[in-house]
Amino acid sequence: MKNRRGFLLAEETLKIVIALICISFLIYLLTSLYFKNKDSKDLELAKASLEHLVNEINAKAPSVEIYNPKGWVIGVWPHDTTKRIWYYLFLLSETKIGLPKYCENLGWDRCICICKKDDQDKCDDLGFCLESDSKIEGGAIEIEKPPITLKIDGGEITKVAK
Amino acid sequence: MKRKGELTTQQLVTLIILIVSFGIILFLIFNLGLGETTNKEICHNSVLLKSKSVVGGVLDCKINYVCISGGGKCEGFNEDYTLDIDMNLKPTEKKTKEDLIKEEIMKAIANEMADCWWMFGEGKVDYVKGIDWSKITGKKVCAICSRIKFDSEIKELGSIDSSFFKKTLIDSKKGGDTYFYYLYGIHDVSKVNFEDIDLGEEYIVLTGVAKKGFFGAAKDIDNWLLTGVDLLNSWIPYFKEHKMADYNDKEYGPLPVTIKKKEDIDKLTCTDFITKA
Repeated sequence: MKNRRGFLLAEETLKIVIALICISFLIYLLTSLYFKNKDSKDLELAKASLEHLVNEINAKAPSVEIYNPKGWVIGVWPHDTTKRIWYYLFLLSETKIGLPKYCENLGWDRCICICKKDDQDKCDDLGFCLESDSKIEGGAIEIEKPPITLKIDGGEITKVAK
Repeated sequence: MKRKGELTTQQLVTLIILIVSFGIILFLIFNLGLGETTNKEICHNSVLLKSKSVVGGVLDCKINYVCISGGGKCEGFNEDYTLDIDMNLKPTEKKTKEDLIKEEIMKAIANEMADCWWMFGEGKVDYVKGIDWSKITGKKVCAICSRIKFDSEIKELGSIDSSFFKKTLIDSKKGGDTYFYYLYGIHDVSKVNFEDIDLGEEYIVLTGVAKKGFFGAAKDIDNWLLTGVDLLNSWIPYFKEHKMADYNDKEYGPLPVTIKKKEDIDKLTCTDFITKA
């Protein structure tokens, strides 16, 4: 059999494809490892921030600063909002957003959570909650560009504009 | 005649000495503020562990809420511990009572700053290493060590001039040298600038690390010690001797410990805060 110059044999092509698959898998593995590690570090910071916030609420402090984790969301549950699913002009379903399982399982009626995303299910995956009667206008506050200052007025939490 | 079971004088004295000694030991344990030291030591250990770890460990540093008190309470502030200032100091020929009290306040703040510098490895260790986007964009990681508030009696003293603060840092001894040298590695006080301390305000003691990214410029640190980064690099020996090796000239390294008004924290443009609330 003649091996022409510049011609890739099926065997070599297969090797390249397998190598690409392996490299992609390795990249995926390392990326997921990195994010898993980062998320667990952020969760530790989140727990400390929420505990500090609730302590300050209980101590009737007028305001509190939250420094981390960046991009996470502080929310009170249940949100006084409903989730609507539309198909063009047709309303398919309308459900009132309930509590994250974290709070439900502990038998709390209302809770305050700090989660990576302002989503009931995702809050269970990566979040931390404490029992609280506090209220937040709009249900949630994102920790964007920390530090953020939260004003506490009789259990009502509002973000102070910078 | 000695009855069976009766205590002799010697036994009685030994027993009393034992009980008194035990009481003294208990008193010392509860009054030495061991809890406060432990938090700082936990932080210091986690910083060292992270710097030695290949994959990067977890920092376990908590912000200390400190009330500097002249006898009262710091209102609207849940302090972790209180630093008491003696408000009844006797004036001397050279110093007034107010100067002596202000000196005590500045010493308390200087101690917090020194503890902060020690907790985060005195600028000799890289505690923010690891792979993330900042390798490209650059970052300025801030580590808040303490939040300081003053009680009403201290507030009445008004403010403390920055030159007075510098003088306290030079006059007070830390180990074999001055606080100023321990914190900044130089003796020339004209190269470091502080703002006046307004005793009616809340302050933050912090340190940090600035890193220049692969493409992006280093995060601006002009407001850190009221001086530019190149100047900072040129005079602080830590920057020269302990420059982190990863990127050599692309690194700006550790930021010296400083004290800032709580309201002015945004001016520092920190990209991340790494201490727990």
